[in-house]
Amino acid sequence: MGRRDEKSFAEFVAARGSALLRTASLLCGAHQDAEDILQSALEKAYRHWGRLDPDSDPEPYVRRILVNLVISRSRRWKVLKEIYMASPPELPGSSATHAVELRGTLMEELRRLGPRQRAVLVLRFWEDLSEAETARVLGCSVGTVKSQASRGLARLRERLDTNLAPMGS
Amino acid sequence: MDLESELREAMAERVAGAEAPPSLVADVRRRHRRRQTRIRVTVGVAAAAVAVAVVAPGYQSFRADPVGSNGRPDDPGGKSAPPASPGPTVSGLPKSAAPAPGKSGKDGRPAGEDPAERGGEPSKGGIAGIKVPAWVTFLPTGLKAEAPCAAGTENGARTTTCRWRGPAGWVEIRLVRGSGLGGPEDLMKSPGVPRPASVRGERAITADRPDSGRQIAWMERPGLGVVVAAGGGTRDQLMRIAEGVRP
Repeated sequence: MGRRDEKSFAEFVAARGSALLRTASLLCGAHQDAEDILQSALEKAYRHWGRLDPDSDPEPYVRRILVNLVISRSRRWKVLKEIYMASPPELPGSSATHAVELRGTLMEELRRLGPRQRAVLVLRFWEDLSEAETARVLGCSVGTVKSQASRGLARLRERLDTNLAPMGS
Repeated sequence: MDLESELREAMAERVAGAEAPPSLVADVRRRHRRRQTRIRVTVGVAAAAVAVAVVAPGYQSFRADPVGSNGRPDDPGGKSAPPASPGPTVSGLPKSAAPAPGKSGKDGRPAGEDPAERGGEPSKGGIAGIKVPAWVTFLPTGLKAEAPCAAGTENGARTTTCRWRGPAGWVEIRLVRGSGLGGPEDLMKSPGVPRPASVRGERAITADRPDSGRQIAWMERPGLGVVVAAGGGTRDQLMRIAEGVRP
């Protein structure tokens, strides 16, 4: 059985880099963070690239690294915020723009979800992964994916209702 | 409102313009190299720290700091004597020199203060393979006690003499205790003119011996003198041995 080489890594990044960057961007909520975290994830994959099965698709492996990195980094940032911020960070309020632009508001609310819940929604509705595939990426049970997706959507709906109600939506 | 569909479209809209930079592969490789360098530096620093930790005790013994003593720090001047031990009598010391429990010295000092009395206390975990009194903190390796340390008198002064011999040469340490000792000149006789020297800041004199050895003498404190002699291969280590004598 052959081994993956440097060339195949470059080909993989060239082919799937943009798709992974988009996923990272949705998982992080910020484009700059997404690029950095994607580089970290690819570097981790690069370390073990030679050991990956050349006949299998490496994307699920890289995606799993990406999701784990985003979740662990979010936790670290949460701790840092708890330590260093004297007052709660200012979050964008429910401005008229957000109220009117449903999708903008949706993305804003998605960003406010917890990292794991956000990851479930991104994997399910952006990557179009099945519940079983999402569970594999996140390393949890299908039941957890179902409940996280359901709670995430319910929270989005609830916040949307709150934000858009004054506009009569 | 179909929230799922709206969410899909919102996501697609948000990331529509996101494209991976052409340098992504190069950036990843550069990051990988930086990480490897960081790991190598960390490992190098850790190895250096371990090396220092291993070498430092050897360096300390080279400086004739007490090795194998009872673990109590010396006073800055190196004048304090190791504590008297109520432990068993030690090989290498005459029975007459062994400390008697509760016995006080003639000069009013408690028993064990006299180096001749406590001189046979073995160093705990000290120089491997050599039975040495606790007040001898350095001896060249390969030497063995020639005989038990001998107590005697010389010109009215009490002496304790210990000798070690081995393939590397020989070492003799003599403690001289007497109220009539005025300086290192009173401790040894030499065929030539002695030269001035210093042992841990104390004035000393050094001279050759007729038996091709070399010796050094100094007053450790009033009433107590030390003479250290070394010959053969250990001759060059005379000063190091002398610095390690802490009666």
